Amino acid sequence: MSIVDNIYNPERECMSKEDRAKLQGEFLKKTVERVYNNVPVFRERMDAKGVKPEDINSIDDLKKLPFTEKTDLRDQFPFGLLAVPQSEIVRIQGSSGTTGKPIVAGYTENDVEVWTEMVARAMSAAGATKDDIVQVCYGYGLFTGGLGAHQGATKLGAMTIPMSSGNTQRQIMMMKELGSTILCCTPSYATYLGETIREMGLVPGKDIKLKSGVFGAEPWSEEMRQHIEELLGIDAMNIYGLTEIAGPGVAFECKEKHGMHINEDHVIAEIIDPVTEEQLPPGTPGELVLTTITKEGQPMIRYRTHDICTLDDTPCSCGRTTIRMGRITGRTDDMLVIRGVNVFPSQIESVLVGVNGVAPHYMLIVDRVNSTDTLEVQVELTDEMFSDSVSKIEKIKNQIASEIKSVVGIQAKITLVEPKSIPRSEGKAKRIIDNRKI
Amino acid sequence: MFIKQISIFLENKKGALSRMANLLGEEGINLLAMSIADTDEFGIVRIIVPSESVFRALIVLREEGMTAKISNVVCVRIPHEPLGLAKALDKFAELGISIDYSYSFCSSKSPDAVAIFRIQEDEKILDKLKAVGVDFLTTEEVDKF
Repeated sequence: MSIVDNIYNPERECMSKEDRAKLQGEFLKKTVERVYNNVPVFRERMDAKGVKPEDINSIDDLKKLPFTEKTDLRDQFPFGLLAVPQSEIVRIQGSSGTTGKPIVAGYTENDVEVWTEMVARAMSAAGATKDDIVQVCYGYGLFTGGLGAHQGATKLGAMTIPMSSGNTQRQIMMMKELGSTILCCTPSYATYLGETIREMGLVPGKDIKLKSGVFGAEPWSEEMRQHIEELLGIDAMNIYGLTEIAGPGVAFECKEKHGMHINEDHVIAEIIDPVTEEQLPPGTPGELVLTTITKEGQPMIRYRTHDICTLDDTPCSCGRTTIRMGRITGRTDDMLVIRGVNVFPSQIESVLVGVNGVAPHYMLIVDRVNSTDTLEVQVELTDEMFSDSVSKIEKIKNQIASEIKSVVGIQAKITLVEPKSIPRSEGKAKRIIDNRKI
Repeated sequence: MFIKQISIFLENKKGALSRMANLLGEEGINLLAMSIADTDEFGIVRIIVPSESVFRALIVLREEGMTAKISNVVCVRIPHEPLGLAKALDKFAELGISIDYSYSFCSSKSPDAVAIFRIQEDEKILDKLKAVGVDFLTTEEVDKF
């Protein structure tokens, strides 16, 4: 454990920008060599661009490399992207994906170690030490959430409770009886736990000993953070990751809570214009592109996350020198054109958060009736939105409709539906059904 | 004097109410009273269950993905006879207390009936009503009614 408070690996997390760039350049060069020599599809793509491994000598050369897409993981399923012999793989994680074919990622022993340390850094930044009791309510299994948080907490020497997801009554009983101090789950589940704890008459700080939470696996807002922090009396920290790159821990918040520190000694982040594919400077919103530089099993070169965010390379007072990424504000592959207007689901989501304080699950259904596009927004009615009075519920519907009209300029029909009636995969909801026959 | 009521959001679709009733029944939870407010698209079911089962019922419903919430109502004992309800309502009207909604139940064990009212959650209002003879049931009395 480090001498600096809450920084797990100061040597790597606080190194000078120059030293880090040099380290990243070396790691990148080795990764590209390995990938070129072992993964046929990457070699073909680099050859097609006329790029050879010897052309890659520093991080400035990154932009010469071709991109990797999620479709590559599907096309090469299951082992076509491995850069090591299959016998070196000690772990498979994956996601079912929202559109049919699953994706998987193979990890070597070292890949699991690296991922574990990335999560340990995140937990440490949230204040976890070996004296803490970490309750993990992410699902265990192929999904990286449960095992990722578990490994990170264990690495810190914390007492780790592998609750997995569901069974709220038992979660709260264990939280109370064992005195859990750190909570790991999705922000929406944290909200639900908090509401239920309050309703049961339990008092955070007295009956519940939580001091912080590490929340991820779905987009959330500042309003939702405040809500969770008040409900549970904790610091609520954001964590980001994806199976294709490692799992949770690719980036995480420190106590400053202004952006997630990217573990840059293992992953290089770029922001690109999704259309021109040119790199954009820090501070400009665009698509996040990630390159793994230490991964052995299934390295990713310029993986297009399709997540929209900004990078911030201004110094952080926590002492870490790594670049930070802001909240995910949208997805490049989610844009809809309705009656000629560009609509992002994230805009609808921001309206819903504004109305309810939290982000409910929702679905956009686009159709064409008498050659006019129609938009229906189905919203799962959360406990927060639910009122015992019919007129109050009608009022919420009208408010959502009028705010969507003012934000995106389209009159939408709002339909309130029961929770969990909108299909999900790995906790992430499918957001759009486009029934238009064009 | 406020009694905990559970309100449940149900979409207007076949089997929704039966699913809810089965969930609670399988947990051994008895319904003391129930009412439904309906609109074109959805309904709000309001139920009173024995006080020891309130949180269990809430969690069972939520674990099954239903939106449910606890709110406070008052239960008033009224004579089970013509003008029994009317006389109680007169007292609310005289004091200018508005009622959001109401439903009722009775039992073979008691000659009286119980009217449930949703009113503003303010102990002072209850005191005023009590002063003019409105007979509120306690949680224990509702459980045993």
